[in-house]
Amino acid sequence: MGLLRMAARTAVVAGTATAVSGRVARRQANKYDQQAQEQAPPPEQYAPPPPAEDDSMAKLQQLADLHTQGVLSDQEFAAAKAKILGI
Amino acid sequence: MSQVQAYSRLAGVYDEIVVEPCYERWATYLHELWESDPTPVRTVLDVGCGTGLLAFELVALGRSVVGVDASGSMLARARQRLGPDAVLLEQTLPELRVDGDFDAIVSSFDVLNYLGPEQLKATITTAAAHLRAGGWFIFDLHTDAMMDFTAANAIVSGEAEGQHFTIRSVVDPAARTCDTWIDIRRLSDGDSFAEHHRQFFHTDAEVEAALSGAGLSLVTVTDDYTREAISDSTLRSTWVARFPEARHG
Repeated sequence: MGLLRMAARTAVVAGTATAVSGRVARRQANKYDQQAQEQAPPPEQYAPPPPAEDDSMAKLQQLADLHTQGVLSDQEFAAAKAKILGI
Repeated sequence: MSQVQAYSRLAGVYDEIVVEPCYERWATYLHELWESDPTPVRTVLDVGCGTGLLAFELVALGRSVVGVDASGSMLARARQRLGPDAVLLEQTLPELRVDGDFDAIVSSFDVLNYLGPEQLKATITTAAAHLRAGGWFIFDLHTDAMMDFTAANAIVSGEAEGQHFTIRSVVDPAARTCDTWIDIRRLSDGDSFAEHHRQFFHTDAEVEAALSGAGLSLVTVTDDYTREAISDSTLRSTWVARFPEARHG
Protein backbone atom coordinates (compact mmCIF):
# COMPACT_ATOMS: atom_id res chain seq x y z
CA MET A 1 0.00 0.00 0.00
CA GLY A 2 2.82 2.26 -0.67
CA LEU A 3 4.81 2.98 2.48
CA LEU A 4 8.08 2.17 0.74
CA ARG A 5 6.98 4.22 -2.23
CA MET A 6 6.16 7.09 0.09
CA ALA A 7 9.63 6.80 1.64
CA ALA A 8 11.31 6.58 -1.78
CA ARG A 9 9.35 9.54 -3.12
CA THR A 10 10.10 11.62 -0.05
CA ALA A 11 13.83 10.84 -0.17
CA VAL A 12 14.03 11.57 -3.88
CA VAL A 13 12.03 14.77 -3.77
CA ALA A 14 13.91 16.02 -0.69
CA GLY A 15 17.19 15.17 -2.40
CA THR A 16 18.29 12.97 0.50
CA ALA A 17 18.22 9.68 -1.43
CA THR A 18 21.57 8.01 -0.87
CA ALA A 19 24.20 7.29 -3.47
CA VAL A 20 23.82 3.54 -3.74
CA SER A 21 20.81 4.14 -5.84
CA GLY A 22 21.86 7.30 -7.61
CA ARG A 23 20.57 6.04 -10.90
CA VAL A 24 17.25 5.07 -9.38
CA ALA A 25 17.00 8.44 -7.67
CA ARG A 26 17.69 10.37 -10.87
CA ARG A 27 15.16 8.41 -12.85
CA GLN A 28 12.51 8.65 -10.14
CA ALA A 29 13.19 12.35 -9.69
CA ASN A 30 12.42 12.86 -13.38
CA LYS A 31 9.16 11.00 -12.92
CA TYR A 32 8.14 13.07 -9.92
CA ASP A 33 9.03 16.28 -11.73
CA GLN A 34 6.86 15.18 -14.60
CA GLN A 35 3.98 14.32 -12.29
CA ALA A 36 4.31 17.63 -10.50
CA GLN A 37 4.12 19.47 -13.80
CA GLU A 38 1.07 17.50 -14.88
CA GLN A 39 -0.64 18.39 -11.65
CA ALA A 40 0.41 22.00 -11.55
CA PRO A 41 -2.56 24.31 -11.88
CA PRO A 42 -2.74 26.29 -15.12
CA PRO A 43 -1.16 29.73 -14.90
CA GLU A 44 -3.50 32.26 -13.39
CA GLN A 45 -5.43 34.39 -15.80
CA TYR A 46 -4.79 38.08 -15.37
CA ALA A 47 -7.89 39.99 -14.43
CA PRO A 48 -9.11 42.16 -17.31
CA PRO A 49 -8.52 45.89 -16.82
CA PRO A 50 -11.45 47.57 -15.12
CA PRO A 51 -13.73 49.66 -17.28
CA ALA A 52 -12.99 53.40 -17.59
CA GLU A 53 -15.65 54.68 -15.19
CA ASP A 54 -14.32 52.44 -12.43
CA ASP A 55 -10.96 53.96 -13.07
CA SER A 56 -12.22 57.42 -12.01
CA MET A 57 -13.81 55.98 -8.89
CA ALA A 58 -10.60 54.25 -7.95
CA LYS A 59 -8.62 57.46 -8.41
CA LEU A 60 -11.10 59.38 -6.28
CA GLN A 61 -10.87 56.74 -3.59
CA GLN A 62 -7.08 57.00 -3.66
CA LEU A 63 -7.29 60.76 -3.41
CA ALA A 64 -9.75 60.54 -0.53
CA ASP A 65 -7.33 58.20 1.27
CA LEU A 66 -4.44 60.58 0.68
CA HIS A 67 -6.57 63.43 1.96
CA THR A 68 -7.56 61.50 5.08
CA GLN A 69 -3.94 60.63 5.74
CA GLY A 70 -3.05 64.31 5.47
CA VAL A 71 -0.89 63.85 2.40
CA LEU A 72 -3.14 66.17 0.42
CA SER A 73 -4.40 69.45 1.83
CA ASP A 74 -8.08 70.39 1.53
CA GLN A 75 -7.27 72.64 -1.39
CA GLU A 76 -5.19 70.06 -3.25
CA PHE A 77 -7.84 67.41 -2.73
CA ALA A 78 -10.62 69.70 -4.00
CA ALA A 79 -8.58 70.63 -7.09
CA ALA A 80 -7.68 67.06 -7.95
CA LYS A 81 -11.26 65.91 -7.40
CA ALA A 82 -12.58 68.62 -9.68
CA LYS A 83 -10.10 67.59 -12.37
CA ILE A 84 -11.16 63.96 -12.27
CA LEU A 85 -14.84 64.75 -12.28
CA GLY A 86 -14.34 67.37 -15.01
CA ILE A 87 -16.01 70.18 -13.08
CA MET B 1 0.85 -7.36 13.49
CA SER B 2 -1.97 -8.43 11.24
CA GLN B 3 -2.85 -6.84 7.94
CA VAL B 4 -5.97 -5.42 9.54
CA GLN B 5 -4.31 -3.67 12.48
CA ALA B 6 -1.68 -2.21 10.20
CA TYR B 7 -4.24 0.08 8.63
CA SER B 8 -6.49 1.02 11.51
CA ARG B 9 -5.07 4.50 12.08
CA LEU B 10 -3.31 5.01 8.78
CA ALA B 11 -6.64 4.81 6.98
CA GLY B 12 -7.51 8.23 8.35
CA VAL B 13 -4.64 9.97 6.56
CA TYR B 14 -3.94 7.44 3.83
CA ASP B 15 -5.39 9.33 0.88
CA GLU B 16 -3.85 12.57 2.09
CA ILE B 17 -0.25 11.61 2.65
CA VAL B 18 0.55 8.06 1.55
CA VAL B 19 -0.73 7.64 -1.97
CA GLU B 20 0.72 9.25 -4.99
CA PRO B 21 -1.44 10.65 -7.78
CA CYS B 22 -1.07 7.62 -10.02
CA TYR B 23 -4.45 5.95 -10.13
CA GLU B 24 -5.80 7.72 -13.18
CA ARG B 25 -2.71 6.75 -15.15
CA TRP B 26 -2.86 3.16 -13.89
CA ALA B 27 -6.53 2.86 -14.77
CA THR B 28 -5.82 4.20 -18.25
CA TYR B 29 -3.08 1.61 -18.70
CA LEU B 30 -5.45 -1.18 -17.63
CA HIS B 31 -8.25 0.19 -19.77
CA GLU B 32 -6.08 0.24 -22.90
CA LEU B 33 -4.79 -3.25 -22.20
CA TRP B 34 -8.31 -4.61 -21.80
CA GLU B 35 -9.52 -2.89 -24.94
CA SER B 36 -7.25 -5.31 -26.82
CA ASP B 37 -9.39 -8.23 -25.57
CA PRO B 38 -12.09 -9.26 -28.09
CA THR B 39 -14.20 -10.39 -25.11
CA PRO B 40 -15.16 -7.22 -23.27
CA VAL B 41 -13.73 -6.72 -19.78
CA ARG B 42 -16.69 -5.57 -17.71
CA THR B 43 -16.29 -7.12 -14.28
CA VAL B 44 -13.21 -6.48 -12.20
CA LEU B 45 -12.23 -7.82 -8.79
CA ASP B 46 -9.97 -5.39 -6.94
CA VAL B 47 -7.98 -7.41 -4.40
CA GLY B 48 -6.70 -5.12 -1.65
CA CYS B 49 -8.83 -2.24 -2.85
CA GLY B 50 -7.94 -0.06 0.14
CA THR B 51 -9.79 3.24 0.06
CA GLY B 52 -11.09 2.52 -3.43
CA LEU B 53 -8.91 4.93 -5.42
CA LEU B 54 -8.24 2.56 -8.32
CA ALA B 55 -11.75 1.10 -8.21
CA PHE B 56 -13.15 4.61 -8.52
CA GLU B 57 -11.15 5.24 -11.70
CA LEU B 58 -12.12 1.86 -13.16
CA VAL B 59 -15.80 2.52 -12.49
CA ALA B 60 -15.38 5.86 -14.27
CA LEU B 61 -14.08 3.89 -17.25
CA GLY B 62 -17.23 1.79 -17.32
CA ARG B 63 -16.19 -1.25 -15.31
CA SER B 64 -18.18 -2.96 -12.62
CA VAL B 65 -15.84 -3.41 -9.66
CA VAL B 66 -16.01 -5.62 -6.57
CA GLY B 67 -13.53 -4.62 -3.86
CA VAL B 68 -11.95 -6.84 -1.24
CA ASP B 69 -9.75 -5.62 1.59
CA ALA B 70 -8.58 -6.84 4.98
CA SER B 71 -9.10 -3.49 6.68
CA GLY B 72 -12.52 -2.27 7.74
CA SER B 73 -11.19 1.27 8.19
CA MET B 74 -9.88 1.39 4.64
CA LEU B 75 -13.15 -0.08 3.33
CA ALA B 76 -15.12 2.58 5.19
CA ARG B 77 -13.31 5.23 3.14
CA ALA B 78 -13.87 3.16 -0.02
CA ARG B 79 -17.58 3.08 0.82
CA GLN B 80 -17.68 6.88 1.03
CA ARG B 81 -15.90 7.12 -2.30
CA LEU B 82 -17.82 4.45 -4.23
CA GLY B 83 -21.29 4.84 -2.77
CA PRO B 84 -23.81 2.60 -1.02
CA ASP B 85 -24.30 0.20 -3.92
CA ALA B 86 -20.64 -0.79 -4.33
CA VAL B 87 -19.83 -4.39 -3.40
CA LEU B 88 -17.04 -4.19 -0.82
CA LEU B 89 -15.98 -7.22 1.17
CA GLU B 90 -13.82 -7.46 4.28
CA GLN B 91 -11.58 -10.49 3.80
CA THR B 92 -7.97 -11.31 4.56
CA LEU B 93 -5.86 -12.91 1.83
CA PRO B 94 -5.43 -15.64 0.79
CA GLU B 95 -9.11 -15.94 1.65
CA LEU B 96 -11.14 -14.77 -1.33
CA ARG B 97 -14.81 -15.64 -1.11
CA VAL B 98 -16.58 -13.98 -4.00
CA ASP B 99 -19.34 -15.10 -6.31
CA GLY B 100 -18.72 -15.87 -9.94
CA ASP B 101 -15.88 -15.44 -12.37
CA PHE B 102 -14.42 -12.09 -13.26
CA ASP B 103 -13.11 -10.71 -16.53
CA ALA B 104 -10.14 -9.30 -14.66
CA ILE B 105 -8.56 -9.27 -11.21
CA VAL B 106 -6.25 -6.47 -10.13
CA SER B 107 -4.09 -6.12 -7.04
CA SER B 108 -2.30 -2.82 -6.96
CA PHE B 109 0.06 -0.74 -4.84
CA ASP B 110 2.15 -3.67 -3.57
CA VAL B 111 -0.73 -5.47 -1.88
CA LEU B 112 0.85 -8.82 -2.73
CA ASN B 113 4.10 -7.78 -1.03
CA TYR B 114 2.22 -8.13 2.27
CA LEU B 115 2.00 -11.87 1.71
CA GLY B 116 4.67 -14.43 2.57
CA PRO B 117 5.71 -16.85 -0.19
CA GLU B 118 3.15 -19.50 0.75
CA GLN B 119 0.33 -16.98 1.07
CA LEU B 120 1.28 -15.49 -2.28
CA LYS B 121 1.04 -18.88 -3.91
CA ALA B 122 -2.33 -19.57 -2.29
CA THR B 123 -3.66 -16.14 -3.26
CA ILE B 124 -2.64 -16.49 -6.90
CA THR B 125 -4.25 -19.93 -7.03
CA THR B 126 -7.49 -18.61 -5.52
CA ALA B 127 -7.48 -15.61 -7.85
CA ALA B 128 -7.04 -17.84 -10.90
CA ALA B 129 -10.07 -19.85 -9.80
CA HIS B 130 -12.18 -16.67 -10.09
CA LEU B 131 -11.17 -15.77 -13.66
CA ARG B 132 -13.11 -16.50 -16.80
CA ALA B 133 -11.35 -18.13 -19.76
CA GLY B 134 -8.97 -15.52 -21.13
CA GLY B 135 -9.40 -13.43 -17.97
CA TRP B 136 -6.67 -11.07 -16.75
CA PHE B 137 -4.73 -11.00 -13.50
CA ILE B 138 -2.68 -7.82 -13.16
CA PHE B 139 -0.69 -6.84 -10.10
CA ASP B 140 2.37 -4.89 -9.09
CA LEU B 141 5.28 -5.81 -6.88
CA HIS B 142 8.34 -4.17 -5.37
CA THR B 143 11.50 -4.97 -7.32
CA ASP B 144 14.94 -5.83 -6.04
CA ALA B 145 15.87 -2.23 -6.86
CA MET B 146 13.23 -1.19 -4.30
CA MET B 147 14.73 -3.56 -1.77
CA ASP B 148 18.19 -2.02 -2.29
CA PHE B 149 16.79 1.50 -2.32
CA THR B 150 14.93 0.94 0.96
CA ALA B 151 17.98 -0.63 2.61
CA ALA B 152 20.03 2.40 1.60
CA ASN B 153 17.40 4.88 2.79
CA ALA B 154 16.43 3.36 6.11
CA ILE B 155 15.06 6.51 7.70
CA VAL B 156 13.08 9.10 5.82
CA SER B 157 11.02 11.89 7.28
CA GLY B 158 9.03 14.76 5.97
CA GLU B 159 5.85 16.78 6.25
CA ALA B 160 2.68 16.59 4.23
CA GLU B 161 -0.81 17.97 4.71
CA GLY B 162 -0.13 19.18 8.24
CA GLN B 163 1.37 15.87 9.36
CA HIS B 164 4.97 15.07 10.20
CA PHE B 165 5.97 11.54 9.32
CA THR B 166 8.99 9.34 9.85
CA ILE B 167 9.37 6.05 8.00
CA ARG B 168 11.95 3.61 9.31
CA SER B 169 12.67 0.42 7.41
CA VAL B 170 14.74 -2.60 8.26
CA VAL B 171 15.48 -4.78 5.26
CA ASP B 172 16.68 -8.33 5.70
CA PRO B 173 18.16 -9.14 2.28
CA ALA B 174 18.61 -12.83 3.10
CA ALA B 175 15.05 -13.34 4.24
CA ARG B 176 13.85 -10.81 1.61
CA THR B 177 11.66 -9.06 4.16
CA CYS B 178 11.18 -5.47 5.15
CA ASP B 179 9.79 -4.24 8.46
CA THR B 180 8.58 -0.69 8.23
CA TRP B 181 7.47 1.57 11.03
CA ILE B 182 5.67 4.77 10.28
CA ASP B 183 5.23 7.47 12.92
CA ILE B 184 2.77 10.20 12.15
CA ARG B 185 2.26 13.33 14.22
CA ARG B 186 -0.36 15.94 13.47
CA LEU B 187 1.33 19.33 13.65
CA SER B 188 -1.74 21.21 14.87
CA ASP B 189 -2.24 19.33 18.15
CA GLY B 190 0.62 16.82 18.39
CA ASP B 191 -1.73 13.83 18.15
CA SER B 192 0.43 10.93 17.02
CA PHE B 193 0.38 7.25 16.25
CA ALA B 194 2.73 4.59 14.93
CA GLU B 195 2.18 1.54 12.80
CA HIS B 196 4.26 -1.42 11.78
CA HIS B 197 4.04 -3.06 8.37
CA ARG B 198 5.87 -6.13 7.17
CA GLN B 199 6.44 -6.79 3.51
CA PHE B 200 8.13 -9.49 1.47
CA PHE B 201 10.22 -9.09 -1.67
CA HIS B 202 9.26 -11.97 -3.90
CA THR B 203 11.74 -13.31 -6.42
CA ASP B 204 10.71 -13.40 -10.07
CA ALA B 205 11.13 -17.18 -9.98
CA GLU B 206 8.70 -17.51 -7.05
CA VAL B 207 6.07 -15.40 -8.78
CA GLU B 208 6.49 -17.19 -12.10
CA ALA B 209 6.18 -20.57 -10.38
CA ALA B 210 3.05 -19.47 -8.51
CA LEU B 211 1.45 -18.20 -11.72
CA SER B 212 2.22 -21.30 -13.69
CA GLY B 213 1.13 -23.51 -10.79
CA ALA B 214 -2.23 -21.73 -10.88
CA GLY B 215 -2.55 -22.34 -14.62
CA LEU B 216 -1.95 -18.69 -15.55
CA SER B 217 0.24 -17.56 -18.45
CA LEU B 218 2.57 -14.64 -17.90
CA VAL B 219 2.07 -12.13 -20.70
CA THR B 220 4.54 -9.43 -19.72
CA VAL B 221 6.28 -7.66 -16.85
CA THR B 222 6.72 -3.92 -17.31
CA ASP B 223 7.84 -0.80 -15.50
CA ASP B 224 5.18 0.69 -13.25
CA TYR B 225 1.98 0.44 -15.34
CA THR B 226 3.65 1.47 -18.58
CA ARG B 227 4.64 -0.46 -21.67
CA GLU B 228 8.31 0.13 -20.88
CA ALA B 229 10.54 -2.81 -20.09
CA ILE B 230 11.90 -3.30 -16.59
CA SER B 231 15.26 -1.63 -15.94
CA ASP B 232 17.71 -1.52 -13.03
CA SER B 233 15.93 1.57 -11.75
CA THR B 234 12.42 0.11 -11.78
CA LEU B 235 11.05 0.28 -8.25
CA ARG B 236 7.66 -1.17 -9.09
CA SER B 237 7.04 -3.90 -11.64
CA THR B 238 3.65 -4.55 -13.19
CA TRP B 239 2.80 -8.16 -13.96
CA VAL B 240 0.21 -9.12 -16.57
CA ALA B 241 -0.99 -12.71 -16.57
CA ARG B 242 -3.97 -14.38 -18.22
CA PHE B 243 -6.06 -17.45 -17.75
CA PRO B 244 -5.91 -19.59 -20.93
CA GLU B 245 -8.71 -19.30 -23.45
CA ALA B 246 -11.07 -22.28 -23.39
CA ARG B 247 -10.25 -24.93 -25.94
CA HIS B 248 -12.80 -25.15 -28.69
CA GLY B 249 -14.28 -28.38 -30.02
